[in-house]
Order: sequence, then structure tokens, then C-alpha cells
Amino acid sequence: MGTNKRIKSRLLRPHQVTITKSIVSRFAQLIAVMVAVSLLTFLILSSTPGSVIDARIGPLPNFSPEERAQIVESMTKQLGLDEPLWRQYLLWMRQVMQGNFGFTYQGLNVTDLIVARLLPTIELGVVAIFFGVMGSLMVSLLAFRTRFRAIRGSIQGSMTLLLVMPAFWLGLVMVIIIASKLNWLPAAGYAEFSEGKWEHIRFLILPVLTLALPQMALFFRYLYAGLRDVENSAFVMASRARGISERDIVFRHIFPNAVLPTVTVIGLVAGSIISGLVIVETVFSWPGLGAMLVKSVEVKDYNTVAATVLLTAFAYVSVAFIVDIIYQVVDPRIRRQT
Amino acid sequence: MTTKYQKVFARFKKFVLTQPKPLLYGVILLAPFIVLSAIPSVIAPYDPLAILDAPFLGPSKKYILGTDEIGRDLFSRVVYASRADILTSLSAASIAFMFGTLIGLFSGYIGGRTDTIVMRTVDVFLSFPTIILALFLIVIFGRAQWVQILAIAMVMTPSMARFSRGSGLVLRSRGYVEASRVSGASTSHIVRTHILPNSMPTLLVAASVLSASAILIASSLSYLGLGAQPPDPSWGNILRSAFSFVYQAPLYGIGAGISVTIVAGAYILIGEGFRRKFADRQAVIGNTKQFGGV
Amino acid sequence: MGGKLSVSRLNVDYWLSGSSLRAVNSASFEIPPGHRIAVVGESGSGKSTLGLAMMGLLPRNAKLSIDKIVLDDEFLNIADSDGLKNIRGRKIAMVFQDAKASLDPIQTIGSQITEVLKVHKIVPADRYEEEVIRLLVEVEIPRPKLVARQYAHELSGGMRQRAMIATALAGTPSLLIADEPTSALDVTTQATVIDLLRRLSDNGGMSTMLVTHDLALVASFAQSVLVMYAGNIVEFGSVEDIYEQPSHPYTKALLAAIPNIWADRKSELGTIEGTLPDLTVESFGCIFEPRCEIGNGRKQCQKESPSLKVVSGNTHVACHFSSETRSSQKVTISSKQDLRLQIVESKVSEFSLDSSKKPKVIVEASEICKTFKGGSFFSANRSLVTAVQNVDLLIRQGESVGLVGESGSGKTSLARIIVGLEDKDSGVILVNNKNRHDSKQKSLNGEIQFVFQDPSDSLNPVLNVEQIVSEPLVLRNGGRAKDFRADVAKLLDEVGLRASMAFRRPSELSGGQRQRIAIARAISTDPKLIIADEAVASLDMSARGQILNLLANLQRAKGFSYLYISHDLSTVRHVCDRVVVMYRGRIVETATADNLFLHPEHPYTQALISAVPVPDPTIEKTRVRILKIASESLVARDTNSCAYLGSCDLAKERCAVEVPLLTTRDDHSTACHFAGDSAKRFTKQTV
Repeated sequence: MGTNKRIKSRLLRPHQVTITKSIVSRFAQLIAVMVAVSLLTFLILSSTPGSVIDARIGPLPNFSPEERAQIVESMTKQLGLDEPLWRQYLLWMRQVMQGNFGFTYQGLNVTDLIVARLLPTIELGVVAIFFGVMGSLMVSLLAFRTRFRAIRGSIQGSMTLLLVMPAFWLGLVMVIIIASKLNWLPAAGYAEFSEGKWEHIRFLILPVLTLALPQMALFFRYLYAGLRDVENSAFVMASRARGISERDIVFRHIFPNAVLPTVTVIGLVAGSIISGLVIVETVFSWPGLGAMLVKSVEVKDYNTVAATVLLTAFAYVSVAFIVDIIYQVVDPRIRRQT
Repeated sequence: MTTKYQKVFARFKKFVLTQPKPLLYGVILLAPFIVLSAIPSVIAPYDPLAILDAPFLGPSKKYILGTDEIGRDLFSRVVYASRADILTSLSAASIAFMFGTLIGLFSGYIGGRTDTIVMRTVDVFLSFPTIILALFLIVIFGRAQWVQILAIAMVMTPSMARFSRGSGLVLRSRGYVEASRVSGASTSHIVRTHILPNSMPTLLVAASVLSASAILIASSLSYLGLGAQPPDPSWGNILRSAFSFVYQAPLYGIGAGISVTIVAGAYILIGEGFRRKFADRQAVIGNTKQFGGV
Repeated sequence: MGGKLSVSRLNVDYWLSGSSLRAVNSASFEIPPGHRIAVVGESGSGKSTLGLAMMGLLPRNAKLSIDKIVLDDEFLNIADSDGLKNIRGRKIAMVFQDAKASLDPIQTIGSQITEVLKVHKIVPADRYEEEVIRLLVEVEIPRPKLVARQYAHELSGGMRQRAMIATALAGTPSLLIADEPTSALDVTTQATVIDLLRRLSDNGGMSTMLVTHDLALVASFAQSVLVMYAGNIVEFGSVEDIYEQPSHPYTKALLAAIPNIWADRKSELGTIEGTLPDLTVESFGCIFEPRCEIGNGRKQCQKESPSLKVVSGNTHVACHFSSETRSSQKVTISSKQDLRLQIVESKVSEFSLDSSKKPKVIVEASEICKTFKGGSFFSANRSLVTAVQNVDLLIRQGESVGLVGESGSGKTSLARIIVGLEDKDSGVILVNNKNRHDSKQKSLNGEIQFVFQDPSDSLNPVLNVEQIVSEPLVLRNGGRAKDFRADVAKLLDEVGLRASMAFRRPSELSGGQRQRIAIARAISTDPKLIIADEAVASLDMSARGQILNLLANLQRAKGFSYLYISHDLSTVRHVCDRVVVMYRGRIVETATADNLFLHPEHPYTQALISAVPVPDPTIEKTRVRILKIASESLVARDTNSCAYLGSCDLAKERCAVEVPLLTTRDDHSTACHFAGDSAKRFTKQTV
């Protein structure tokens, strides 16, 4: 009798137990990955050929060799570069956890710099992802349902084209056509929100398009392939055999089954967007983290570069984690694994 | 009366025509660029670094794409630029393909702990968005071309490894692999004889996509000013200048932009062609129940 | 009573890269209402196409032409989509082979049944839930309220199939087409599902059309049979007439090729020579003529294609010389029974002698245990699956041992552990008295060889035959495939293939040929033991006989031992001296083949044998079956209870708390507390 009770409660909520276990273990994995990422970042950072200090202060012709050596020595101690590597890493990590990323060459606080540029980047990224995903859903449905080969062919063709065009070329084309010739929108720049909603949006449109269109093409590839695959599966024929209408089959059976696995692709798209941000922000002079990264690389400002790299990696991994969890909750196949 | 040459040509023609269309188109589009990158001096009418005339001249019979802001022939610059971009991207893609495939196939086949460790390491590398990792490596190690190639290769190896690991994992449970194990085959024998040849179709498709990414990343890096340094031309830095002169010479970047797009597109087409070619071979050899017996 | 069907001249052509293939040729037949008919044929016969055509489910490259199709005195319009809307699910319903693939994985069972109710407006909306439960009860699914809220992957194979039947019944069809509904199921589950279909047909006033290749299954289910070959109906009549006195040479050959569980052991299985004709080429004359034992070469058969004619009573045949087939030996029921008794009384197996006279032990496995971590996410889902529990197995030289069990029995895991493809958790394996360590490469040397189930999977498509067959020799001796050309030629000859095949690739060969190559590869190292895991399950009936005969001949010639794993009892009986029955990781019974099949002691063995359909309709009608109870998955089980608890119809309290051990008497071991009672109830009636 006792055994029966045990079974009953297990049958009632097995999946809830499984999901919590899964979230916890994945979160642990997330932390582990972040630690590894920080380690890797630090290792790459420390492998600068030649000393960081030499790179920074340059040859200093106005000083004698001995004086230069003294400066180097004092800076070394100041920056803690004479310590063993693992100590340096822990020191660095401690600072990072406290939100301290050090200073740029000019003496600006890196953290402040990042914070100032965070919002424009996030705005651009989020809006782009949104339009990219929505756009691809509509376009793939259209391509799937249309009876005209020409429409399907041109959609597939243009999607492929969008994928192979480098972002800066796409941006250039749009700037030439829309900004220069037609003068509908500004070619570059940024307007604060406080200056007025429409002003702000005017500057936002071209960068979003340049960023979102390739992502839409990427997502479309997966979605469309998924739709075709599901269309051929056995349960679609079985549904037809039951007399379900074609329209119902597409919207209630094919579409959900095709879209579900592609949720994980959104994580991939996020990574692509982060990379794309770097280019697009440069093209349109958008005051975000991407543009800052490029400038820092040009002047070899290690602190800023390291900080940005670390942050973007963390962001990417976190987004992938969240997407993963959402997928687990939504897909009944995984949800109900007793 | 057919001569030997006619016969060989006929066989070649037949071979070519039986390939899937995307493959053909892709190769046709790509071939000229490969030729360009090998012997640019033959096609380009002028020295790409030479100042020849007034700046910002429009396209004409003398200068096919016009001149740039200093007065150099844009067409010649675009032609010579192919060498930088294509060389960089193909080298990087080859390195990434070799290492990634090796790591992935072995890891996928061996499975277990080894696989978990390798894949976790790969995941860590994959946590960095592509361009950002490339930028990071360049800032540390400099802007020389070899750094570019290695940086791009390093960025692409993890995804190739992940991809081929999938292949290794799937093929590991095939009957012929297990039969080999039963007869005492070593891991390297199995990977060499059974797993590698049978994963080639999928790997080739991945390699084409990889090459397309490689050239996009390479040109992005030069666009950002981190590739070939002026005055040497690369498609990316030509486009960079194009932005500054959008009002004076809107057609400045057309040659470079179209070239990158076509080359990347050609790679994708080739990949699609491979995919179609090997689609039937993929799953199983064939349904055993089609024939009655014997 | 509904389901009166009449089909007149149905043709299906497929268009493939320029040429057309006639998949169904002028099919005409009639079914009375509430009738159970089976459509039988091998693959390529067009049987599935016929069913799909009737519902308009053919692919886009198929062309259908038909005189007329009438169901319940109503002309059915299967040519356009409007007509089909009324037919599909409402007048004709279909269930398919793979229930998991035929149900939407992200919708609950209940919602899929409701969908059908909605589309055909069977009941008003407020009665949906009630009707869903009613349907689930009708297909005998336990706990219907729970199942309605579950997803396809949460149910077992048998339950899923019943759920699919429920969605088919929801539209109250007059005709139910079942396309290989049980091929993917265990034989014991198959028995219960076929039982269900029989009952539904009898009670529900609906005709059922069973499409299958399994002739024994047909005998247990159908009232009439339609035999198809290469797209043509060759014979059509009542099941008794056809099975007792087949009128078409193809039917006769098919019936002869079935390994009958009761036929004389060690005799050769019947085969059908030749292969299917190329259906893209238009044929003149009888389509079976090239393979026909009475028609081959006859002018009339070559020139004139026979049409369906009535021969006797209700039997229609398409053959010019059916009287010749009919006049050959008629096997009556009574003579079959006598045959069985004879076999029982005369067989004395050489392995029931006392141990000192027995041949030496080649492989000895003791106390093997293996557990798997279940679930696809290792960290989140730690449920342990016990594959093998405390198993001892002895194989002697020259012996053929059959390892029998259904899915989840552990037989495949055990075999893979013995050959070295998997590691065991504990236990010892001795090969020729030498301890064999796990799957470390050094100990795997080809002493024990393996023949896999799926021949298209076990041959590397990139290599040619010579490279494949010589691989074990290359691994052992070094060198290249070319160096072993002579050995390969000899091996090919031994498996009945021409030496010129050495340069072909697997994709150019048929299933039977591929399996022969796999066997040639296996014997190349002169192994002491060959393990065949379902070696003929993927092959057509005609190929099966050939391969089994080949293996038996090779064993006689070379003297290796043979571990034959299968779920198909009839072939096991034909091939093996001794049989071991496994259930959920434990051995439940071991005996000589004859003793096991005639005097099974364990309730599971009895259920297993009971469930195997016998290709004799008269016996099938009067059989009393011992069945597994269907609700097994819901009973708690722990390591202290009998593995069969929950499915056993003889279980008592003792079975829940005490694991029964194998007790041996006269070389017959059984693990059951109530083996004696169980043995007594297995009478001639239950067989």
C-alpha cells in the first residue's frame, strides 16, 4: 500500500523536479564557463609580446636609460606585474568583481566609459533581434505557404544574398540609396532620447536594418529548413489521414513543431548580433560599446579591450543560458521526462 | 570518328553536367577570383599603388572603376586586393578545417570523459563572439598578416570541431565501426578508414560555409582598419574609404563590395551544391527491403 | 453493420525521373460489411500503396486512376480534395506502423483526438472530453483520464498504438485500414493489439483491412485474404481456403517459406528464387512467370497476363494453371497435429546427456551485471536502467544457443558485453578459459564475431566488398586488402557469392547479399563463437530462409558455436539447440529448444509462445492464449521482487518480496516460484 502512495505522488509532479534539477545544474555550468572565459581572457591578455609597460610608455627618448629603467620598475610594482601569474589573475578577478576595470591610457575610468555606452548598444541589439526574429517568422511562413515558385525562389535568393553581404557593404548600399540619394534618413550619428522620440528613431532605423537583416536571413535558413523537414514527417500524413484541413495542419502542427527547436538558434543569433554590433556601430557612428572596442584596439588600450571582451562574452553566455532554460520549459518532450 | 580528345572532353562534359547546379554556379563564380588572386598583374591594367591621374574620376574606358582619393586606379586596386583577402580567408579556413575536424572527429568517436573535456574547452572558446575574439587576438599580437590568419583560424576552429564531433558521434554507432572494433581495430584505424570518409559529405558542406565566414570576417577586419595597411589595398579598407567619400564618389566601393559578396556567395553555393550532391548518400545505403532476395 | 466495400480497377503509377512505374495494377475486390480482410505481400507488392490510394494519401508524383470505389452503397470521390475531406477519418480511417512518428509530439493525446472530433463534428463541443475518455476506454487504455493529458513519448509502444487507434475510431469510420500496425511492437504486445482490433471489428460494425507481410499474423486475424505480388492481386479468398489449399504458385511459395514454429527442426526453410521484376518496364504476360515453378518458360504464361477468375467457392486467382497448384499436396489440419506429436516424441537432443559427455565450454559468463544511466540529459535525469542483472551463460563448442527476449530484456546488452563492445559493471567472462577484459582493444581479436541486424548499416558504403571482407585479416596480420585477395575469394564462395563481386560496393547489392558479406567478414578470422543479433529481421521473407540456411550450413562445416539473438520465436526454434529466455535483465528460463516450446514453465515464456501467431487459421481460431497483463508500467517494482511481477497472471504476494532463483531439473531451468503450476496449465489447447 505504501508503495502505491509513493507512485502516485511521483506521477503527479515528476517533471517539476526534473526541471529544477536541470536549471540548477545548468547554472553551475554557466558559472564554470564564465570562470573559464575570464581565465582565457586573462591568459591572452598576459601574453602580449614584449612588456605591457614598454608598449604603453614607448621609448621615452627624453629620459636616460637608467631613469627609464627606474620608471619601468616602479610601474611594474605599481601594476603588480612582478607577481606570479596566478596571483595576478586572482587580483584582476577581484577587481573585476568589484566593478573595477582599471583605467585607460588617458586615465579615464574604464567602468564609467562602459556604462556610458551601454545603453545605446543594448537598445540597438534588442531592437535588431526583435525585428530579425519577427521578420524571419513572417518571411519563412510566406515562403512555405506560397504556391508560386517565383515568390519562394526570390525569397530564398534574397535571404542568401543578405547572408553573404558583409554588414558594412549592406550599410554602405543603404546609406547611398536612402540617405544620400533619397535623403530620407540621416547617414550616421545619434540623437538622445531627450531630444525627441522621432529624432531618436530617425537615427535608429538604418543601423537596426543593417544589423537585423542578416540575422533575419540566418534565422530564416533554420526556420525554413525546419518547416520543410516537419512537413515530411509521418504525423503530418497521419493528420491528413484523419481529415484535418491543410490550413490547420500548417498552423497547428507543422509550424509549432518547426519553430520549437529553433528557439535554441536564437542563442546563436545573439552571438552573431554582438559581432555585428561592432561593425554597424562603426559604420553609423553609433556611440556604443562596439565602436569603443574598435577604437581601443587601434590605440592598444588593453584594459578597455579586456573589459569589453569579458563583458560581451558574459552577455553572450548568459543569453544562451536563458534561451536554453526557456526551451526546456516550453518543449513538452523535455519537460515531461520522468 | 571520335578522337581521343573528343572522348575525354565528352566524359568531362558529362561529369560536369551531372553535378548539382549550385555547385556549378559556385565554382564558375569563384574561379575567376582565384585566378585574380594568383596572377593579379595579368588582369590589372595598372600598378595599384601608382598615382596616375586626378582623384575621384568617374568610371571611364581608361579607368574602369574610376580613381580613388589620391588618384590611383580603383579597378587595379580591387584586383590586387583579392590576393590579400582570398589568401587570408582560404588559409584560415584550411587551418580551421584541419584542426577542427581532427579534434572533433576523435572527440566524438572516443566519447565519454575525453569528449566532455574537449567539448567544454571548445565551448569556452565559442563563448566569445567571433569578431570580438579576433579583435582581441589582434590587439595582443599585432596586425601582421599571419596574425590575421591565425586569429581567424582560431575563431573558426571551435565551431568546426563542434560540427565534426556531431559526425563522429553519429558514426560511432554504425555497424561497420562496431564490426571493426570487434576485430580489434585501433581508434586511429577506425577514424581513418571508417569515420573520416563517411563524414566527408557533411564536412565538405561545413567547410564551404566556413570559407564564406572566413572571407566575411577577414574583410570586416580590414574594414575596421586592422587588416592590410595602406597603401596596400584590401576590399575591406577600400570600403572603409568609400564611406568617407560617400558624397563625392558614391560608386567608390562598388567593385570591392560586389567582389566580397560574390566570393562569399560562391562559397555558399558550393556548399549547397555539395549538400545536394550527397543528400541521398547521407543516411543509409538504401532500403534493404526493396529487393526480393538472393 | 457498415464497411461494405467494392473497389473496381484501381491503378497507381509513380513518376520517377522520367519513367513511370506501375505500383498497383488494376486492383479489384469486394469486402462484405463488418469483415476482417488482410492484404498480404512482400515489400514492393503495392499493398501499402493500395491502402494509401484509397484515402488519397499518395505523394505528388503518383497518378491514380480508378473505375469506381463504393463504400456502404455510396460512391466515393477520391479524385479531388473536396471528396477526400469527407472520406478521410470519417468514412475510412488509417493507422500506421510507427505510432510515435504518427502522433504530434508536442500535443497531448487528448487534444489530438479532440481535433478529429471537431473536424468531423461527431459530438457537440461540451461532450468532447467525455467522448475522448470513452474512446480511450474502448481501446483498453488503463487510466484514460491521465493518458489523455500525456504526450506521445510518455507512453509505451503498445499504449501509443492504442492511442492511434483511438484517434482513428474517433471519426466513426466504416473501414479501418491498418498498415503494419504491429511490426514495430513486441510479439506479446502485438498479440494484445491484434486482439483489440479483432474485437473492435466484431463489435463496432466496422470493416478492418490489415496490410502486412506477416502471414502468420494474417492467420490469426483475417477472414479473407488478398495476396499481392508486384502490384497485382494474384489470389483472393477466405483465409481457410487460401492457407489450406493455395491456388497461386506465389501464395504456395510464400506459405512454404514461413518458418513454422512446429515444423521439423533443422530442415531447410523454403525460399523463392529470383527477385522482383523491374516495374518501370511494361511487362507482357504473367508478372510472376520468371520466378514461377510451374509457369517459367511456358508460352501462355509469357504471352498472356492472367486475370482474376473464380476457382472454387469464393476464391479468385490470377493464374492460367491454378488447378495444378491446387492438386498438389493438401495439408489437412489433422495431419498437421499428428506431425507435431511426432516431433515431440521423437526428438532427443544431444545436449541433455550428462555433463561428462558434453563438448567443452567455449564461453562462460558469470554474474554479469550492467546498469545504464537513463535519459538524454545526464545531469538532470539520473534514472538508472538495469540492463542485465546477475546473468550466467554457458556456451559449448558447436552449440547453437538462442537468446530470446523482447525490447528491454537485456539480450542485446548481454551479447555486446560478451563480444566486448560494451563494458560490464561486474562479473567474469571466460573465453576458452582465459579471462577476457573489457572493451580494451587488445582483448578483442576476432575470436568472437558479430553479425549485425541491419546489413545496410554494417557495411562501410565507401569501401568495396574485398576491403570489407578482408578487414579483420588486415587488422590481424597487417598488410592491405589486396594481399588477401585469394582468401576473400574463398570466403565469398563459402557464403554463396561469386568472386567477381569483390569489387562491387554495398550500395549495388541487395539486402540478402549484404548480409552474406557481413557473414563472410565474420568467418574470416575463424572465430570460436559467432553472435548474430537479429540477423534476419531486416530482410524479406524469402531472403531470411536463405541466410538462416547459410548460417546453419556454415556451422556444420566449420564447427563454431553460435549465439542467435532474436525476438522471432519461429526462427529461433528452427535454428537453435538450446534456448535462453530473458525478461528485464534476468534469465527466466533455459531449456533445449523442443522442451522450451512444448513444455514452457515460466509464465512469461508461455505468454511469449502463446503470442506467436501460427500460420494456420483453424488453429488460431481455437487457441486459448496466455496473455501478458497490459498495465505493467504502473506497478512498483524493486530489486527484491520478481522481474515479471505486474505482467504475470499467476503472481501472488510471494512474488513481490522474493526474487525467484533459477532451479534446474533435467537440464531445464526456470526462475519462478510457481513453475510447477505454470507448467501444468500449458496444454495442447494453448498452443
